[in-house]
Amino acid sequence: MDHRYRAPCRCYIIPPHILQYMASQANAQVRDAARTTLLANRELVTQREIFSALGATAIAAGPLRRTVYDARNEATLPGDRVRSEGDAASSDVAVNEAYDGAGVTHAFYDQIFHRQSVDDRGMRLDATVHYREEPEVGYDNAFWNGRQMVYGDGDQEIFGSFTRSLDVIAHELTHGVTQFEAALVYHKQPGALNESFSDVFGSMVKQWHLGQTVDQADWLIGQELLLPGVQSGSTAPAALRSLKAPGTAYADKRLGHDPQPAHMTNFQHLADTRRGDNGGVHINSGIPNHAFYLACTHLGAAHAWDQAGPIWYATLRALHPKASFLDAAKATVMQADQLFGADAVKAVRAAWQEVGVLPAPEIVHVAPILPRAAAPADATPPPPAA
Amino acid sequence: MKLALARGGGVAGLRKPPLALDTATLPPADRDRVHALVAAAQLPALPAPGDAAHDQVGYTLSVTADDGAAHDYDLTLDTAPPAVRALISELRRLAGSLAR
Repeated sequence: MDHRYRAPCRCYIIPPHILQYMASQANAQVRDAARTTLLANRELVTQREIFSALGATAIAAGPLRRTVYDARNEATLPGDRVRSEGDAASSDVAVNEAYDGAGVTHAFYDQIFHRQSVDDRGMRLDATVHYREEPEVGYDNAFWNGRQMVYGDGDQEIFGSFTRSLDVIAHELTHGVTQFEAALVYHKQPGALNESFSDVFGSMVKQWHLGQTVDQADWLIGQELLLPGVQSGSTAPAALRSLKAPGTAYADKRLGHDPQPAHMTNFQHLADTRRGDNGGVHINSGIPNHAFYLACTHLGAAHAWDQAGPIWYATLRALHPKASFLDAAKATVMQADQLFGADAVKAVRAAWQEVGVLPAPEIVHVAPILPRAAAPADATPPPPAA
Repeated sequence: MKLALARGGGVAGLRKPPLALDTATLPPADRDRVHALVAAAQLPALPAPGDAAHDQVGYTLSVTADDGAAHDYDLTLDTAPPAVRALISELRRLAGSLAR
């Protein structure tokens, strides 16, 4: 029997509202048992919904608690526990990369935004490495399943282990942050914003870890995942995405061309299906990604996390789940005003105008000045041309 | 019957050409096996995958019957029932590709 499939079952003797109450209790054994049951209950359709519903009952803030599991090339989660908080380094590189990357990301959110883990209440950070969906196929992916990070080893032809890029680890953890903040739905523009926030904070975590300025950063996502030989679409190394130059991250005969647009004129209207990437959430994220990069350059601060980071973080906490690109643009402008004032507003607004989300500034056509003698002294100036 | 399996999502957001299979081109034994796998998969009863997982690889399986009736089914491998996984495995084998 294939134990990876758990048949849906709605036969619960304890009603969900009682389970939710149990899940809020201080007794850890009661709480964990109720949560486990809720997670198996398909009446709450998704784990995200369950954890969001339980957000107010999450574990109280505490120290960093990382646990890394090994799926041993199967699809069972979380797998076998192989390293817990404070344990010595493993002989398995992927285990250490997942552990260390979670630690850096946790430190970034703590030190820059005073945020305690993904839920801001000290949620433990669990990760599974060596995950596979199919026994014979290396898994080219990493994902956040609503409660933990999951990493594959790649196919070892194009992709290496997905734990190799700190920005990808931070990307996945930021999906957790978004889940507990804006909870942006994973479809179309809100989904692309969800992806963009993960890229923005993923890149920022790497920059912070390396102490890089806006000018020094490579603004690439997933560069370390790609094995030698993958061709870039620019002079920069090949990567999955580029915030600086969306659409140029790769141009490879095996991978194709990076499809990300950098401007709304190239927005891709894809079907809201799995085939269509839920409406292009990994495609159109290039537009808000580039807006963040431009905002960083226009703001003039040394580091992305000096001004642009706090503006985007405050926005992530303020947006509603179905926010559009325009909603995000307006929210960042408002947060720029509240946090840093008029110059920041100008910089952030210009960034969104340059990617076509906010309208370009109106061009004021000044009417020719008439000879003084031709107009009465109290004449009203002519209206500007349309 | 025509089948197509297209991949979407994943943190890389890669887009690859779908795997396509026209059972009319298969030897009778393979054709009968695929038709039986499609029937066993009970695709119309397949629940839509949830939204919990971000960056998870997903698939759209398109089935076009001989009378032209076409249906798309969204799925993820980790939640797909064994019968659906068996169909996909056979589709991949016959289409001669390991595209994921």
